[in-house]
Amino acid sequence: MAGSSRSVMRKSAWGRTDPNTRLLAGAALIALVGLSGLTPKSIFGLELIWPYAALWGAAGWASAGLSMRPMLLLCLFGLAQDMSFVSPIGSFMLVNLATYGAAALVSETLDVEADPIKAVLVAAFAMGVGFGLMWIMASAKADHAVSLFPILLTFVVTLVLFVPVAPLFRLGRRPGERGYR
Amino acid sequence: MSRQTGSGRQSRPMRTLGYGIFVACGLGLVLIQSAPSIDRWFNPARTAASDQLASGDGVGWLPRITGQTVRNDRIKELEAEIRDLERWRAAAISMAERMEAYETILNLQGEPPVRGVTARIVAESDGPFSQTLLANAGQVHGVEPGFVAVNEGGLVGRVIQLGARSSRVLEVTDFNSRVPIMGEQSGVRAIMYGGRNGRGALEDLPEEDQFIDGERLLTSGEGGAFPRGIMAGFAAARGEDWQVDFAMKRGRVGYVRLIPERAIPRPEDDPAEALVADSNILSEAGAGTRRAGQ
Repeated sequence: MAGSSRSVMRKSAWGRTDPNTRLLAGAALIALVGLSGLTPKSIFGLELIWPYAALWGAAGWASAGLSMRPMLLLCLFGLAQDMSFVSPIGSFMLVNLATYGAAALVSETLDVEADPIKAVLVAAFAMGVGFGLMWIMASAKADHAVSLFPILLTFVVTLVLFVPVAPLFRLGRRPGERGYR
Repeated sequence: MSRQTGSGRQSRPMRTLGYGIFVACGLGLVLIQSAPSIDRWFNPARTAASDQLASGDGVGWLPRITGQTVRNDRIKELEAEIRDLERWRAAAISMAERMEAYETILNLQGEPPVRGVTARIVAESDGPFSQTLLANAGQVHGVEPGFVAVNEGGLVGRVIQLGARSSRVLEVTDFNSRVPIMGEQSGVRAIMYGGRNGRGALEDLPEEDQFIDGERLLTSGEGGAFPRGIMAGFAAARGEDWQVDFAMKRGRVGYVRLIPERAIPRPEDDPAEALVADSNILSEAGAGTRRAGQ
């Protein structure tokens, strides 16, 4: 008991924050990265591949299980992505939700919160589902199989960058739920 | 450890149901847009979002303090000068080609002078669905749908959506773009569109004639959607196929010049008044002759 109370006392400021604050912080990061990605981006003439930041939220938030608030945020981000990518409205909403659903489904069977490697593997699987769905929808819209290579590159960049930012998307428990995980 | 409350356990099916509803809504939205008439309903929202995105022109406080703003302004000035010179170079190439045609065909009508607007690219979308750019010039700046976008390298695309202060340009690298082009030296004509490997693909190629590897490809002006003589790219032989190295990639897509398409109206759409009067007289005279004959 004494040990547990000491560990609670040693918790960082981030560790003491409630899921709603963590959700908002994650959403702010997604919005920041997403808005920066809208501007032309190249260094020394090299085009930068920008990550789909909403998928970080989808893969990260899902480790706490299905929850309404993250789902709503993902829908909103999806609509914003549809506007900026000139894709049919609802496409990115579906991609985000598919990633979220896949990550939540796998997270239920694995203890993702305790093992960072498992968390990355689950994120890779979930993002794979999302990017796969995106490729299918883009190909269906264009009436031919669109190039897979740029999608794969974006997938890799999104996944690699998810590793350092993953703790920011760890809610600990569902927004609105009581108790600690 | 988490304390799963009774209400938490009960709300789990609700969350799953909520997830299902969200997915169904997304799927419904995507499916409903397969009807073009419904898809058009979403255009005002896209245009409004584009306008908002294009209006952010502020300069940060850090660049002001470090003097970066002054340096950036100077760089922009010099870049603008280079852009002007590049335009002149492109114009010279185009004029040389045109002059040759003038010498061959006498009495050829010249092209009207180019007017246009230079706009900054404020956003780009290279997603799998489409490749477009958002420029911060719109209807209030004199841009119209169908305006052609060029940069210092060459042809960038065509305005497909117009807002009050923004316009969306469909890049020539997009699969859905179609640009009639011709080889500068070979004179071979084809239709160019965005390929899958970052290069342009060609269709409607003649069976016998061939491009010359590395030759410049210019817009042919056929169909009136693009003015004649704009640099589109360079012909590149890839085995049996011909591909295009886009010219726009040789310039930085930071700014584009939006110039009007030069659609030539059909005679029946734009009849000359004197000729109409003459044809009326002729037809009346013809009718009179017929009456006299009877």
